[in-house]
Amino acid sequence: MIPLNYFVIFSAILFSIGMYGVLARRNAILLLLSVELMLNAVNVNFVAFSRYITPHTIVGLMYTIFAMASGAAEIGVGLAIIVTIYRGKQTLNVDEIDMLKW
Amino acid sequence: MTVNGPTIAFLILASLILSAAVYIVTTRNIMHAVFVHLLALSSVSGIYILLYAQFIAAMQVLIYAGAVTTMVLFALMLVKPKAGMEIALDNQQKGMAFATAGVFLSVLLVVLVPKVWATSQEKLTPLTVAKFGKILFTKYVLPFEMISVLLLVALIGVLVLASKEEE
Repeated sequence: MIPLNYFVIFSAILFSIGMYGVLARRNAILLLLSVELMLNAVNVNFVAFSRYITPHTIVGLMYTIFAMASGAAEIGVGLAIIVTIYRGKQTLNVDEIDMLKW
Repeated sequence: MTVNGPTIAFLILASLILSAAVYIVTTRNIMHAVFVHLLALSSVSGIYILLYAQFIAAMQVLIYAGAVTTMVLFALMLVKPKAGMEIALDNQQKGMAFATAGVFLSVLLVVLVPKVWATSQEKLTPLTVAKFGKILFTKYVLPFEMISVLLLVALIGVLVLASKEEE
């Protein structure tokens, strides 16, 4: 059996890579992709803990299903917002999308 | 360290996903980033299969690898910048971002690596979809309905946002 720590360390690394992406990218679509990486790291953690610590209850798996559904809703709304902003401002650079600052 | 089939499969999948993730956050070509994202998300479903969570693996392929990547590709094709318009994909705070993520990761590793979890000693068995569905529609029926409402609201919101008239 694969040690549980392998999964935990793997998802910690994946989460940090996604975090770097969110902080360092300035294209809005790449930001969304990095957020998806972080979400996946969290989901792997949920499933791993659920399967290793309480194999007979499936609470963690349920949580993963709901996280996936809200992730899908999030990326749909995010993309719609990005398309709307691009129509208005002709840019996807999040450094230039600062209309709410004034 | 134990060397057996599943562990080797896990290490291969993990290195594939992590290198794909590093490629996504460093590449200069956004189309390549989306396709490599597809590779990373499909490999995550392999990780779920190693955890004997086949239903989650199927959902991962359907929702993330299928729907989400297709949607991002569509949006990207629709809003693709005009030819010759070169935009930088990174901002000026790359160093700070790297330091922040690095500190976060090292704190996590310092805490997690020596940790011994109270794992159950039983062998993992596959979860049947029947059991899954039964629990989803009895104990978790209220969250299930709420997530349906959330998805409906998101659907309507996306339609309203994306079909806005030009002023």
